[in-house]
Amino acid sequence: MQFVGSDIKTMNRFAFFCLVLILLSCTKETITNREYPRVTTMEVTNISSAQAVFHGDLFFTSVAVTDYGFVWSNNSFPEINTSPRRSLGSTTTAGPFEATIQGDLIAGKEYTVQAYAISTGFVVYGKVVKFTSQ
Amino acid sequence: MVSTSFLARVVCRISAGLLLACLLILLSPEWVHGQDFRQGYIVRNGNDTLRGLIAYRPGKKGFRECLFKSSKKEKSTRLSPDAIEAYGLTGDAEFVSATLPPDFHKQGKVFIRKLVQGPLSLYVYRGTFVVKKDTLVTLPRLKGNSIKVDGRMVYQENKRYVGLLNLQLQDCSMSANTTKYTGKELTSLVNNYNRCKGQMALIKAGNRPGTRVDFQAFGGFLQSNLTVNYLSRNTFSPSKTVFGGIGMDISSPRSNDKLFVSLEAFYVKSTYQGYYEAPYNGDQMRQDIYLNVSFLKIPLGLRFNFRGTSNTPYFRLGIAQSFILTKSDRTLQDRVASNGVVQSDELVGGYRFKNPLGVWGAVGYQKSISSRIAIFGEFRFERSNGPVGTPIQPFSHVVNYNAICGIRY
Repeated sequence: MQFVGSDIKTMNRFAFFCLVLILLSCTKETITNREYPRVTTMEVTNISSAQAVFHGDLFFTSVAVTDYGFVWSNNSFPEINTSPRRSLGSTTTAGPFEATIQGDLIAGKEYTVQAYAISTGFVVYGKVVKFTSQ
Repeated sequence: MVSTSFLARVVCRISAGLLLACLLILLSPEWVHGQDFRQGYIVRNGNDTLRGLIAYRPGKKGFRECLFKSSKKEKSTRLSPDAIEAYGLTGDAEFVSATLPPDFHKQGKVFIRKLVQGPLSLYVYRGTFVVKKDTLVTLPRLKGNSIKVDGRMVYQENKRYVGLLNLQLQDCSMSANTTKYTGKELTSLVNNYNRCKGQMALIKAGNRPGTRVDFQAFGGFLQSNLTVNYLSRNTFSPSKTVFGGIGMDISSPRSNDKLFVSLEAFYVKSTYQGYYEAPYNGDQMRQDIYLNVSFLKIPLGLRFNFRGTSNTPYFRLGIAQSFILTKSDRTLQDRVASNGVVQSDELVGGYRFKNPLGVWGAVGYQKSISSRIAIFGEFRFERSNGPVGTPIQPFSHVVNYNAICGIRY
């Protein structure tokens, strides 16, 4: 099959069009709206006998967050009123956050940590993350 | 039980759709072929030629009658072999009126298709070849039957046509012993004989290729609606994405220039995002479900052009097998208690993936932009098994709507 120059130009243009289409095909996940803030706990880093760094992500908020931070426990699921916690105050913007915990950990113990966020009428806990202090 | 009846319903609907489409093609050739008038001519009994439009009819009807009209606006006239000497499509097949030899057991005249004209002419009537020097001689079709020889069944092939051809060829010391009973080989043999007789043969067939392959590249937009049977019907919002791929259409222009076998391959990435809410042990369970799947999709089907020209509407039907290349699933789950405490969690790997198989149908329009290249636009509907299931309910299904544009060359 013999192609003339204009045919090759047409084919090249179409190949470029297809390439652009494929590059555009990346779809982004969207976060569903809730009447409370949404928070998740991430892996703990810099674990030593003296400290650990907790990480969380306040990935959605359509309401004012009156308090957010981390709660942890070494014998059960942490609970905001009874377990140790590190409050980071109030916020109205979403995004990742972290807190360094020093002196409150016992070496060799397994801990459970959860990020939390409080808004009017709701206390939201992020997923459970476990770590062992060293 | 529910899933079995659902599957049965899906299979039933798909089968009914395919059957209807096949019936439209096979049982309504008049509707499909009768409207396709092409440039041609008729030779009237006085041997005068009249140019006009002839219905393209690749099936058996072309041997029985000719549909002719002198212009597009006129009504067509049915012409029997008694009414005209011959008819033909410009640059294509020519049929002549003839009385078949007695071994056809056919009374009256019919149209036979001219393949070669010369000192020895070759014709074909509904798959049986006929040669003519002075009179028409039938070349009987290849027949095989099993006979008993010394108590054993032996397959015997009847090649009477070889002997009859050898009789016709003997004045050129040619032999048909190795010639197969095909249009291509018989045409070649008769052409060689006519050259031997010093007359360049007029080849009627062979100007159209026996097999033709057209390639295509295309891109498009896909909306994919996923329904996981276990979850409620509107759980997932449609995945909207673009895709690109390549394909080829195989046809046999000599026998039918409107029917193609299509094979394609394209890459598509679908992101299904769903929301599911249900009560759970006194709490309210809310889930954001994210399913990311990329496929290599291989559709196989038939394409039928409504017109024989390169500018034509068409439809396609077929099956599509998808192969999952990458997959991931993630569920963000909130368990909301009545006292306002929300426990969030992230679950990964809760869904099971499998390669979907489905059926599809499409309508489109093709327009040529040069002698080698045509562009096309197409709308395609596809229904298939879903790519995911849950451990509780493994069945899902997908309905896809595609808008495609591309080039064929």
